[in-house]
Amino acid sequence: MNHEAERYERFFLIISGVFLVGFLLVLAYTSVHMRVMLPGRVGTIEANPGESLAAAVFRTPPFNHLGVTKVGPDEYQAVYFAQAWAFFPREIDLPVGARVKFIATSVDVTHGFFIAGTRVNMMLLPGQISEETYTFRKPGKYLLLCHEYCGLLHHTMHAWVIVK
Amino acid sequence: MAAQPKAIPAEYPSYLKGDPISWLNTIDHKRVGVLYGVSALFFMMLGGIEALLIRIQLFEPNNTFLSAHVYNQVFTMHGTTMIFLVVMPLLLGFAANFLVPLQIGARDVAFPRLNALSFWIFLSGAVFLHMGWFWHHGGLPDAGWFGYANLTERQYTPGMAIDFWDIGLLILGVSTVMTGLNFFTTIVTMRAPGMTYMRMPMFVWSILVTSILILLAFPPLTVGLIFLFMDRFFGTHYYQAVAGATPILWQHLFWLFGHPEVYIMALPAFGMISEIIPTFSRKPLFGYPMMAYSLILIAFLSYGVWGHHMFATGMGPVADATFAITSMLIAIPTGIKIFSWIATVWGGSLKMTTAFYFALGFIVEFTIGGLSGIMHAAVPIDLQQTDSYFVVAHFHYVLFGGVMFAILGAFYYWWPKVTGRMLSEKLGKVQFWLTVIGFNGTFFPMHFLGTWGMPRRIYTYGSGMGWTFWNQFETVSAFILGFAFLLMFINMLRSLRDGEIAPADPWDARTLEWSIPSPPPAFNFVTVPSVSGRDAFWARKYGTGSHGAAAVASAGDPPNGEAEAIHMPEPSFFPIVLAAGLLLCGLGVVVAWWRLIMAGGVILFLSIIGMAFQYPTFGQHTHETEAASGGGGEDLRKVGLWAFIGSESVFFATLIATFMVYKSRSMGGPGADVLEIPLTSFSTFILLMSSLLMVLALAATQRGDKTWQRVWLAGTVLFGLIFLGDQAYEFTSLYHHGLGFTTDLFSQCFFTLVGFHGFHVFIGVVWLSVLLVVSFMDRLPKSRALSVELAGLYWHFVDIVWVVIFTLVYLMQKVKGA
Repeated sequence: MNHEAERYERFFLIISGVFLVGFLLVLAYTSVHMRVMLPGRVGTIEANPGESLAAAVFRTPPFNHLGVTKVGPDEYQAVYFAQAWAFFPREIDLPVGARVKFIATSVDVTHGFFIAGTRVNMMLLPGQISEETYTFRKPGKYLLLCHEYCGLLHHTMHAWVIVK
Repeated sequence: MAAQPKAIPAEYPSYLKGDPISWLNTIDHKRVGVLYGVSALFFMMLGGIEALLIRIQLFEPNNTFLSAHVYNQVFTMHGTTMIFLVVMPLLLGFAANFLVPLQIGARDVAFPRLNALSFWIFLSGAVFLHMGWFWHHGGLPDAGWFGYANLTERQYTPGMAIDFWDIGLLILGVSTVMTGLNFFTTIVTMRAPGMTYMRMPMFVWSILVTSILILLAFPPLTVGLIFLFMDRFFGTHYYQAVAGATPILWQHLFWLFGHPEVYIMALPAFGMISEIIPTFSRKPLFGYPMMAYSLILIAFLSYGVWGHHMFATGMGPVADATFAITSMLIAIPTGIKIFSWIATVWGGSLKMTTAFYFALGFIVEFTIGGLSGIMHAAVPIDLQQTDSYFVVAHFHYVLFGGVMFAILGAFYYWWPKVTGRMLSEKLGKVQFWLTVIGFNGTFFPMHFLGTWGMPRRIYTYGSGMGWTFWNQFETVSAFILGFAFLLMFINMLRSLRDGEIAPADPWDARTLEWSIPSPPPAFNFVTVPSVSGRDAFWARKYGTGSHGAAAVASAGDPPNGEAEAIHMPEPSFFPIVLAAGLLLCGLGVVVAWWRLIMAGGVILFLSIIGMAFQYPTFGQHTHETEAASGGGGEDLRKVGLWAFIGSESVFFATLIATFMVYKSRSMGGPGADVLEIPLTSFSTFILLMSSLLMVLALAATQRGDKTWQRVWLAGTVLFGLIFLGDQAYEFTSLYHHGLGFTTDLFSQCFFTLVGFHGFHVFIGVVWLSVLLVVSFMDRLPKSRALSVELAGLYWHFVDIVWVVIFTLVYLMQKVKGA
């Protein structure tokens, strides 16, 4: 019995070791090869005393210029703001292979920014600018969803990213 | 069946006997437990109906079965109800209340009246959450169970619903912390003679660790809810970006509570499983020490993992990596438990009862939930799953597949002890299989839906999404699950009406609760049992290895007639009255009707006074101190106070941390420049001196020196009053310098922190004044020095907090400003 227990123990140790190494390899693959990056906080919106948050957002660059801008060969910047219950711009067009930096914030409550079928998933906090970069390799109509419950018509809050 | 312990004569009635009124003023831990259980079952039906409504609404695309407004209320209340009104009261209120004293061989919990108070406050909090129903413009809360700021601000969610949610949760928090304090003290001080920590049943271990978690995890939630309250009622800006604050503060506070909360629900479930599996495997629990240590390790790590709820907020790579690692680490002690349960079953002579079915089901389903939990620890994976239906699948596997299966197993296991009747095993097994089918059918496809992009908390979805089939599959399964619960209720009713009478030990079990009749008498044990090893009752029945069975068996035999000498505390109506006062008070605040606040406040105040003077022998705890003989020898009031101080420390730490974060983000107001250091230095000196006087007062009491006792006590009260007077003056002068409560972030954090400290000083002054009065009544002799010592402990704690506040809030701000 003791012998048997030792054998099982060794078996489980080996299995656990394999799993651990496997996890680390997947992590390395996703971060190095797939260039998975974390959403980051890249700035804040500073409202002056008495100023509304929306006003502060629209005077803070880059939110004074919404939508897609080409910043280099195959490099784009897409600036969004979210408001209950819509994203602006509601639809953008991008070429296949575009590497897009999404910059977004909220003008009222906390929203989500999730592009279904991609790893783009950020939380949009009022007063905070969130940013994430993604390369669209496949053409299609990508659904941009609000992922954080934001009130009565949360389920209708969406926009489209069209990659041609 | 093995040798039964000698039957206790029939003249000791069961704890269930008594007229209906006696349930309202009861302070018997078993009755309080049953009250909790009955209420939780009611709310379980409510929460279950809410779940079915959600599933009906999602049955087909673009469904309009519910309106979006109602749907949002339903899913918010489903989460809030199931967590705060079902799972926690079932685990802590019902199971722990009923079982812990029985398992440790005690006659009641440490503070029986506080226990009853916990229940009534719980009930008033639960009612409070649902109050919105009764108002035309109210409605139920609709911001989700974790109520993310700033959606909960009045600007975005007007109306009373969130007010009811906020204050309701505050009330429930008070009840839970009192419960945690009570169980902590009970387990530390009231174990039967010989029951060391390493001999306690594993369920008791789990409740001990859970109590510590409650004491240290609830304060952040309380603080978060207080901030929300201030934002909604007083116009502060704790969660508003316009003032430089950030709504992410709520997420930090909420998850700092929220993740330990997951373990507050899971650990008692682990404890239950650790009782059921050894009984039906007829083997001792495998790896007992590791099982105990892994509980502690889980509790410790659970404070360091809250960030994995917030990967999508952009905390930065360092924070993300840290939380990813801690979240993976916590899987290790959990894995130890799963393997130990499997090892316990291995090679046992299994008795396949319904309870055991559910325990085995627990291992499988909980492991699935645990594995999807580890996936969330990996940040890249989590980023695709955050707020999707995958998360819903994950936590239902943990909370239903894990915790609920354990509760159902425990229900079948302990029902005979609670009611004295057996449940139908046949019906139970049908229920088990229907539960397994319904549960997996409902929640497993959510993994798929989540991966395909279906978000949680959506009212409806389009027909082109390809989500229809699995949603319909889930809805059908959910009804199977609902039917399984219906069978449980039928089983219960059948058992109560004409179930088989349960013997004292129907399962041939291992722990002390099975050594007394089912249902137990009011005082539990005729004589307090003495314990000489783990599985005390098993040892009494079968002996432990080398020791002869006979030698141990005689130890617990009750000499007849001794029950007359058992002194049980008297019932009390004050808990229910006090809770009613609290309910009125809260209601008055929400509907802004000051007469109601006053009425509630008067009831509250009078019942507190009444409660304090209910026992004429002030400061004497005869029955309790006698029963406490088995524990570590510490007085239970002292242990209770230390537990309270621990909880308070976290409360102040949270307030101070918020101040430190927010002070630099403040804009507009005069900030720290207007603080007056000379004045507060004087206040600080006075408060420190009062601590010295307190020490002298205690020394005088211990000497039995009445005169100096009065002098020093009066001195302490006086110095406390001077401090409060200084503070009142300071606040007024700050106000005149343009630093009002809502001026800016600095001022609101400052007044909240310093104000709450001042309130604590005020409570201390009241406490010491009462002692002074008692001293003048000549009722504070040497033998009651402990009463003075306790007040002193509290007083010193409040002083130490002040030293921290003075340094961080006053001195350091000034130094920086200079």
